[in-house]
Amino acid sequence: MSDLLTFIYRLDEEPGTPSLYEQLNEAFNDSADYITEWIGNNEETELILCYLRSLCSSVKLEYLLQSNEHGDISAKLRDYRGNDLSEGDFERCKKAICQGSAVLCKRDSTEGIILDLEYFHGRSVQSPVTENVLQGPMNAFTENLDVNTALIRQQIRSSKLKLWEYRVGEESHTRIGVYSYSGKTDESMLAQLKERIAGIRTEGLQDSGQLLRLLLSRNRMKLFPLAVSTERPDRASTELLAGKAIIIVDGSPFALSVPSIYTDFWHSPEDKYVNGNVAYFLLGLRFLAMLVNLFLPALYVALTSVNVDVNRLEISLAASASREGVPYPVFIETLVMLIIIDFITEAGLRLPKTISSTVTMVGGVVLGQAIIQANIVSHLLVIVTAATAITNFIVVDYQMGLVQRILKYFIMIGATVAGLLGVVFCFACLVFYLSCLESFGSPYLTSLRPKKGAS
Amino acid sequence: MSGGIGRRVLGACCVAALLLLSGCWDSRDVDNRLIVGALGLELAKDDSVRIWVRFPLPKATMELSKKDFFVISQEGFTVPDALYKVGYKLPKAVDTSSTRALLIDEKLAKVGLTPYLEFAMRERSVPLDTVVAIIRGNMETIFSRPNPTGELSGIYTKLFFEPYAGGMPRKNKTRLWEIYSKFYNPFYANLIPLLKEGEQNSFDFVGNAIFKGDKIIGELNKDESLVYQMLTHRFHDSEVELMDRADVRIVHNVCHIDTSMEAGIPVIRTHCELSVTLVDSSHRGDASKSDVVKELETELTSLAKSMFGKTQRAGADVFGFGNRYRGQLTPSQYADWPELFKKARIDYTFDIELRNTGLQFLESPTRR
Amino acid sequence: MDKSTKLGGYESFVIHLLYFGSTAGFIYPSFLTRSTSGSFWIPLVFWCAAAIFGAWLYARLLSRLQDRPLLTELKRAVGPIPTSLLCLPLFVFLLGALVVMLRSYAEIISMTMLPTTPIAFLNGMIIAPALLASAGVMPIVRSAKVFVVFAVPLSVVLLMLGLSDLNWSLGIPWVRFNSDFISNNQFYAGSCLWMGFVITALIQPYSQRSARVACRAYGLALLCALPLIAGYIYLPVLTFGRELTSQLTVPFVSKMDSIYHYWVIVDNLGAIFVATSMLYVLVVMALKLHALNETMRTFLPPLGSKIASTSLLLAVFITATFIPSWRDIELVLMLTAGLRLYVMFVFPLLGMAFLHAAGRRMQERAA
Repeated sequence: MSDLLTFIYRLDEEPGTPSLYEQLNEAFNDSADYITEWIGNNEETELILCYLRSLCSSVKLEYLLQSNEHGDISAKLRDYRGNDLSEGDFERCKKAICQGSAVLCKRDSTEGIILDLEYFHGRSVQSPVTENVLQGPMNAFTENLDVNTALIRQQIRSSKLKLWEYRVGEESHTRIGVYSYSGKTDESMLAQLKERIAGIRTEGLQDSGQLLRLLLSRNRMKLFPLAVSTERPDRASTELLAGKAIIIVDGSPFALSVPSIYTDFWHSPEDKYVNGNVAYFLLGLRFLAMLVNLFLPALYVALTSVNVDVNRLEISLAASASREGVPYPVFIETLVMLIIIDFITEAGLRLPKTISSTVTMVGGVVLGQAIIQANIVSHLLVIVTAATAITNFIVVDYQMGLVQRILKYFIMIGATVAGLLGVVFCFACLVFYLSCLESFGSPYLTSLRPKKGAS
Repeated sequence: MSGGIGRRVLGACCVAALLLLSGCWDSRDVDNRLIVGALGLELAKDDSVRIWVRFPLPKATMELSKKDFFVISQEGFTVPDALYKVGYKLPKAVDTSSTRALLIDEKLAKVGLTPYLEFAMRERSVPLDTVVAIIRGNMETIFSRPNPTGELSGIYTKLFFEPYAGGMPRKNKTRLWEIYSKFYNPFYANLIPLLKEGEQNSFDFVGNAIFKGDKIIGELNKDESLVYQMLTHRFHDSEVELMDRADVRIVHNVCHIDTSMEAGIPVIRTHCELSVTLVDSSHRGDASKSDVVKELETELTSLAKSMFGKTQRAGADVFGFGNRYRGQLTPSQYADWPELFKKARIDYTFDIELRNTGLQFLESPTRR
Repeated sequence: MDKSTKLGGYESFVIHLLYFGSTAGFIYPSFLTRSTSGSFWIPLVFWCAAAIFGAWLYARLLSRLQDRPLLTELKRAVGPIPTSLLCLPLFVFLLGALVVMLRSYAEIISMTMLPTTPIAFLNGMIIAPALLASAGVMPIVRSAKVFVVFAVPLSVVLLMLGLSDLNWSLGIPWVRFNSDFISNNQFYAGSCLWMGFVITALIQPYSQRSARVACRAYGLALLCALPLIAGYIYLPVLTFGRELTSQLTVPFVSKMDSIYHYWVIVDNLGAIFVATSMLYVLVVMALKLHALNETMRTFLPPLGSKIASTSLLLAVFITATFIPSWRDIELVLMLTAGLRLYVMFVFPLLGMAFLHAAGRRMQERAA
């Protein structure tokens, strides 16, 4: 522990220039939670502690300021146990106060001592919100970078786990941490990543998703998510051991895992914890659900308007019977139903829990039944739409699910114009697009078989 | 960023324009189509053809008292012409791509089928796996009568022939592509089922019509059709053969065909091995196993004789024996096969094994 | 864009398999069935042997390249003018192959599934392969690997379904060697199927090892695709008979239409066949476009080559739209048969001769 007293003695004063105390007062002029406290006298000058009450820990502060009324600072300060002290001029002290430190200065000095008293206000470690599993650890990242670091280090207790910290954001000065496991991660990808992070110019950074967009801002907007975001420390540590880099933003509980290839988005966190065959079966089921989600409305449109000869006669007659009385062409009614389902999905996201069940009933039962009886859509279509809506939520990654909701409209347009061939053509275009995508140096559609040596 | 947004809006406008311009040329909703279930062809005056079309109606449109199908007929110079003209009378487009049955009038078959069926191969309108049958009788009655067994009309005809659903091998399910391929194949003649209007049901199976080229020249009756089925390996299920003394069921059939050419005359030897079981023994007289077998053999031999007699006289090789001679004849000789077939010598033997007599012995216990 | 262009053995195999699948189902069977009155497998075996020989010649040529692309090395060896003269037939062949593939596939779509859609609209499907081709070789290879997973099992399923309703006596004579196909120009027109290795030779740098790997991959793909090719020819013959099959434009589609089983969920397998073939055709068109772009990039400066690629695309589209009929497509194939034979046999020999001469000249200069 450094000697606080020597630091105080080293604080020099420069007459003529405004003192640190006055500058800080001016900088934090209108902030009601800016407190300056006289804590004692040191020979002839007063010692003042400046801090933002909302950011500092009262416990640490009380420890520091256990006062005896007589202001004998030497004895008190000798007992100080805390983090490292550092000195700083006005700019540094201002930044430090904003980070939650307290500045101890003499009334006339131009420099101050920075004491780290930060106390983080946020959630405690809870179970994950978006990635629920039935088998596996139940803790999730929080908004505090240090807690998250601790959670990861508890999973990988090794010195090979490396961490680099940066500050991003000109006004927000958000801390971000880049983790990697040395020996497994590709060095060139890591270097490129660090370069990109250093080159980010933005005012504020609130979430890791925003960071991802900023990292990719050079190129056009990509449709597909290029990094997996996860809330779970166990998943993050598995990715680290597989050779990926993890980025965590202070203030966001979602960690980014780069580089991510297409098949990474389909692995649930549980896959490693259950029986291998069951995991493959579930993986296949998810892929099938994705295909159903993307192609079922389009196939319905294709098979009931353009390529009717592909159906069996009985199915064509059933489709014809279900559409009796519906005035709109198949494309329009499908579009209407898909938009309504998207409305219901969006509404369901934002509703408080208490009335979401009402909406489900309204959406599902009333809307679905009534819209058939009003002869606006056919019953076959309601089955198709319900299947589409359900399979949309089987997707593991949230971002991927959002993308699919958009893509199915385009594939449906393709089906309207050219039927079954339009569906196949759109599928081909999708695959072409995916094969041109690259996530931080790795091609998006990397082979499923592990290559020797390369990632 | 504004440039990017501008470009995206432009792209979206192009897509929208594409939709407007496209018009979706081939898009016609399924409820705007009248799907043809069965198609009938018959001769009309002045060398034109009259088609009969039966559309199954979807359940939502029919009321309790009405029929679940709709029939319409139209005359035209060719079949596609008539199909096009029938559209003048209908509110929806005619969609022949799911036609299940094609029924051809016997008089039309006597004139020649090729000019009337050619459209099916060239244009993919009537599908190639449509079931074809020749009708003897009044086409209008057959098409206008509702189907008593309650099957969805239009597909009833196909089910009539399906082996899994009431069809028997003797009904000889023939598809359009088979007929067409045999028009071109000099070694194979057509054998198309012959139906007539039934009293209790839509159709009654009469036999099979023998074709030479595309014209009908003769007929095999139902029993001769059994031997035909055995020889052409179309024998799926068991059949009940009725005889004087006992009824047997043929459960298994293997047929060996041996072909050779001796002095310019084709020699064809067929040997059928049958396994039969006894279904019903006649109450008249006493039958023993050897009697049953011999009776069956005689019956089959006489059927085969009459069958081969009919087909050879006409020079119509409905069995496809000629295909085996492709290697022995040069391509220029291919067209001579019907004549060769007339002169061919056909030997047929049957080897019958009575596998069991069912759950009851044939002879009474004391007689053994 | 990934700049590394190392195609391993599996990638080459996949590309060649897709190439066979894209051409074997459409024009090739009608050419083969009309070219001979003997057994059909004999011209097939003939061309297989010729193709393997051609692939071997190309492997020998490519093994001299020392990790550089073919045309760049030739240009370095003998100069741009002789190389461009040498490559002109190659260029015309590639262009013709692309136009024929696009137009014939659009025509088949028009005949089977979308009769009233204009041909110009159907020809517009080349935009997707063009965009993919501009992205490089590795995206094409990755798409090819994905498509193989979807398209090849579907093709296998269709072939197995096609095994119904076969009459084996229709295939007689099984062994009749009738050499009439040698003088029949439709036999030579059928060489369009066997040119896969020419295209893969142009798209990436080769060394001795990778040339050998590529040759082996081609042989393996040929072996695996032979049942497919034989099936496309023989299944219609064994169902309809050879007389009707030789009259059909696309025999396999008619064969697929004639299949009926109670348990097949789809009524019209011909449509499924055409839809599956789209996957093959799109990737192979992207590959050909990329080969054309690479050829032009060797001879033109960068800006010029971008303009040239776009104008090439337009030229292909316009030519494909303005071919009047199916017979003209067949005519184009028959006329370019000579070009194909040149590209398959003469070009590698000339290339090897040039490289050998240039190598010796350089040795003399060094010594």
